[in-house]
Amino acid sequence: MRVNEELCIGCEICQEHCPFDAIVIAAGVAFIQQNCTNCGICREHCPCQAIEVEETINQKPDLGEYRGFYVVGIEEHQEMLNKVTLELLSEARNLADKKGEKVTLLVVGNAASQGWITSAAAVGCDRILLLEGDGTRYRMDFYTVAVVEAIKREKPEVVLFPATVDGRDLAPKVACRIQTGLTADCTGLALDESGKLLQLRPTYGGSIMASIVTPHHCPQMASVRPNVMRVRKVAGKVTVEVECLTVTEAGSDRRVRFIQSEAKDNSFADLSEANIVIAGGYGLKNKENFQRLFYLCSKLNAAAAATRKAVDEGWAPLEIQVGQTGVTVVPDLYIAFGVSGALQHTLGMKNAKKIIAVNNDPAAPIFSISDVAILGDSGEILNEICERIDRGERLFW
Amino acid sequence: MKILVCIKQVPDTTEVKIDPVTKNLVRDGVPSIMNPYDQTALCQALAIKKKYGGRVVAVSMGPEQAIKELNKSLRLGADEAFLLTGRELGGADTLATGYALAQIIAKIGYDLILCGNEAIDGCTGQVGPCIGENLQIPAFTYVKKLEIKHDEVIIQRDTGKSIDTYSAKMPLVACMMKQGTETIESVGDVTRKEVKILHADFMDREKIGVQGSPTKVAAISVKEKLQNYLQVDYRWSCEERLAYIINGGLEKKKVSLVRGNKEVLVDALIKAIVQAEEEKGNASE
Repeated sequence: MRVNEELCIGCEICQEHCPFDAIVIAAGVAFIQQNCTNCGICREHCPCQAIEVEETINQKPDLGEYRGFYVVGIEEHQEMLNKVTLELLSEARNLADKKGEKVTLLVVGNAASQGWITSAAAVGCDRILLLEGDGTRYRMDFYTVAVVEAIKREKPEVVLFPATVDGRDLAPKVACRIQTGLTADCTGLALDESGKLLQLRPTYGGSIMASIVTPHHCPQMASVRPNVMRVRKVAGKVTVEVECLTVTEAGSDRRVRFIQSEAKDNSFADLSEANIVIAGGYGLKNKENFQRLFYLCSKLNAAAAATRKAVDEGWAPLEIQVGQTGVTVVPDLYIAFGVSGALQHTLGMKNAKKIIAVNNDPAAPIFSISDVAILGDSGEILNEICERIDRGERLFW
Repeated sequence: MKILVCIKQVPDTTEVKIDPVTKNLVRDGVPSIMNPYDQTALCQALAIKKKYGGRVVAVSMGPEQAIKELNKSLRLGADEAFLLTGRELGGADTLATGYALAQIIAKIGYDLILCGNEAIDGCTGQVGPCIGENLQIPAFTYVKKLEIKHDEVIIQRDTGKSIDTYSAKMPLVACMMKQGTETIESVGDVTRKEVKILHADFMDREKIGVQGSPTKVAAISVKEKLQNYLQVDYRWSCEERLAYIINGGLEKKKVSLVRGNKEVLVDALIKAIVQAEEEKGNASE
């Protein structure tokens, strides 16, 4: 943004509206600082039309040859594709249909398992492009080389990455080699009127939503948060074409040596980023019930949390403590078992979109901020739900 | 050994509030701080220096106010600090930021580059890897621990599911996770150490600032929090609290308690979980 100093009257209105605190008033005129993000809000509010958009003089390359929606899958199992891959494929299908384009899955491997093909077909993926190559190198290095080579050959219009640990490592490296735009951790995608990808993401600790476009570069790339998009099965039979691309690895040396990998207890992962959090409090009464809670977490792909009191009792580790002293979480769904709802705890979770509480005290403060309040013994209910899971009942999705 | 630490000045987002009436960000009195992840990186750099020797150099790109955070890095023990600043760098996205920082780092010289895994304002985690790509050296994200063995660096990466260990030769970039345990003691006043100001004059204009940024912000909206209860800040004065309760007029939603035997309650719980998943799906359409 640029201020036309002759038109500016120094009224400070733009300064008030700037969400980024990027405007200062000096010598009676507005001055836009370096932390400006070009969002244009100041221009909308300026009573004198004194704020202009700076024209970018970049040569606009011909983007017409870039076609199709691509999803990068970082797969862990052969039986089926990861849930996040299916979420991204569903979203890509949804957007591609609006433009009459195809959906391709880019995945590293030498063969596509029947499980991959079946699950990809179920969400309407048209094609799987296998990236074949030497699997002995540092995995993330190989992924970078492989995905870059695939993009150069295929010229996709849109590439989506999962915003997982590995996806967030890979995506910026690919974007940098291709020299294109990348939006991190999107929670929503849409197409604007010109058919460009609108990438929505929370920023400033989730208090602002920004929609981002990549107007003059292709592919338009985004990483997308897991558990945000819905897996949508398509009706009818889809045949998935499988193709191979042998990655030549030209120009990349073996600069990293793998030493070892030690498995971690998964229930304690990514608490602050989780979309579903299951918390236990003092009402769970013992360590065994916490083990059941961790088990339920693994089944729901949720992160476990605990109140300070439960941590003090030694039922749960300190790293999963939520509240004033502990982690703050903003999940889509917060399920509280035996949590009374003391202020110290609710400060760390009150902004969850939906709260389900199980407690045997009808006067528990947690119920006053809950969407669903279940009155009963939390340990008993947890036990029952775990038993149903063990009986092989399909409870959720 | 020269250890570069990238530092970003960020608003203390835990202090950012939304005005309930105008829906604008309330910035008055929101202090700026050193990005906590970067502070971990700085601590790590100082620890390496203590053990193996070397120099710690702090680098930041941002407006002139960011000098405050670089001064802090000097007080904490950094040997040198550089601020890359200038109007032409403004409006940079992660690609342009990564390029500009890499240029300045190459100019200063480096053996090891430490960054925070992400900043608490933008939360992209993209600049660190982008610096590595520009310098054509490996970049590790989600680094939990780092040790030096001769000219090799042993790196532990926390993938959430596992702790993966790698070794690589310097130079490299390591993006550090927040540890929350480190304490750094200030070494006192900045004694004759001064933040040096650098400009982008030697860089490719097409690759910095707005010009070098493929992504553009199309719109900004303040996210309306889904709240069905009145949130009264206990730090307000009595008058403010009363005024807010009277004027806010938000009705406290009354949830009805689900009662019944174990089976009924479990069914209700499962139904609520499935419903939450479906609502989430609808919201994203």
